[in-house]
Amino acid sequence: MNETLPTATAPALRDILMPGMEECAQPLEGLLYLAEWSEDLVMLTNAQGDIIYTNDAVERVTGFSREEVLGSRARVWGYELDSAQQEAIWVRVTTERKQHQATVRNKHKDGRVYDAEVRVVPLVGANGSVKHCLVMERNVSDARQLERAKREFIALASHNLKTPLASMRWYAEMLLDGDAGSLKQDQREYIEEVLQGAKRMNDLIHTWLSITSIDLGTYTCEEKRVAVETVVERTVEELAARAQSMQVTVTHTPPVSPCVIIADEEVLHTIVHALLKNAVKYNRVGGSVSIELKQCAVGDECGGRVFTSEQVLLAVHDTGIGVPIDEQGMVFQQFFRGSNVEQQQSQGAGLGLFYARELARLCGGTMWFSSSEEGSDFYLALPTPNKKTRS
Amino acid sequence: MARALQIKLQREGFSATTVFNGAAALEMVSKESYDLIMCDLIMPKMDGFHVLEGLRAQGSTTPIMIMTNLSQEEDRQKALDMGACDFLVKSDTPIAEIIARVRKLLD
Repeated sequence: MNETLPTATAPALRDILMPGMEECAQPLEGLLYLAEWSEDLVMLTNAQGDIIYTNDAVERVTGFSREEVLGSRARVWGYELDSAQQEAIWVRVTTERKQHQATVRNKHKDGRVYDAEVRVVPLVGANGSVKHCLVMERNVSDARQLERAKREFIALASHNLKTPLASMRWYAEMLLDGDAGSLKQDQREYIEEVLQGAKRMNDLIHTWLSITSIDLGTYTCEEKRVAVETVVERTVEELAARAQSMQVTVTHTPPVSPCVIIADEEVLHTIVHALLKNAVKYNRVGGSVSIELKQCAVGDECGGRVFTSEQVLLAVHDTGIGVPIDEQGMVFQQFFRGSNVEQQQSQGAGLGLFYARELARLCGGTMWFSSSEEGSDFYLALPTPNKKTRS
Repeated sequence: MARALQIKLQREGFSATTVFNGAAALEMVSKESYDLIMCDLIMPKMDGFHVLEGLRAQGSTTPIMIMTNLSQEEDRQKALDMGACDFLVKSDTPIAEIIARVRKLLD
């Protein structure tokens, strides 16, 4: 944007500098001019640490007026630090000419304590010594409070929604174990239904809370080197009984070389589980699922895409009922269930693929698919360790 | 659900006592010794992290198993860093597995 800045502001800077410091205005005029537009507190000190300039934000952030602040010693690095600690920071900035950056607790004029991000930058003169220090401070209390509120929301929702389910689950398991006496066959079946319902509800709540957590930016991952092959094998084993009950054959082509990525193993497991579970669940009786895992180089073509960086590719091919062509654009949307699926399967919330793709994005990966009445092919591409980028 | 666990533990041959807030737990542990403490994270009056802190401050070396419905990795890590010897998500764990973990810890 080519906007002409008002000319009245720059000369006025000379008037807001501490008396006797007017000569500073010339070389620093541009910098201080910008500071006047800043929402954050910006101050300039002399080499001794006396504040010779501050912008308008000082009153909003600290409660002190410009007049009260000018000439005083900068103590923006936290009221909790004693004078010796403050002096040590000052010496490091002015003598070693190193920037100081920290999140501290400061005190407002009215006594309120607030969290602040502070940066102190030494400005070195022509002779190599520190001539001024630029001090910037941002009040981050609101941002931190919001962050805490988000985390508390997830924690309380998780606790309050899952605790009754855990209780149902445990009592149902105790009844099935015969802890309250033996059960008749139909009583056992009913309690099995209660137990399965509680487990399904628990999974749904877990998925919903995880999606909310991703949305709020509070989802945490523990990243490390993961062999994708291991996760695929584990998931195939977990789904073996389900596949067998539908007479679906699952085949797996191991990669030529190990496929390693940097990711949270449980997150990766959730993604792979969602893809393989869908391939089995929405298959035909007697159908098949084939899993292909490989390392793709730049220029390789797979699943209709040409790779522009090295990626690990997981391809899941199934002979299932497919996604109707006019609904394919909605496959990764929340609560989407294919119209052909809804006629056959009563269970499912339509969150699995949406959740899996959100998690894949967290891992820096991408997910796509193609589908026809003969089946679907789902692809998951994840960056190799040295190529990882967040999308 | 503490009652469900207490019944199950007693049926499996353990002696189990329950309290329903963190402050009461600290008070109990200061008066009597236990082989294992099973503690939630979200509780009235004092949460599980403060209980962990308080127990260690009292010098208690009793193993502590955290049972919670908070499943974020950072909660697990924080509890383990603060001295919990086990961490499980209640709604994901069959009660039989909890008993098996208790036996393992007390063996």
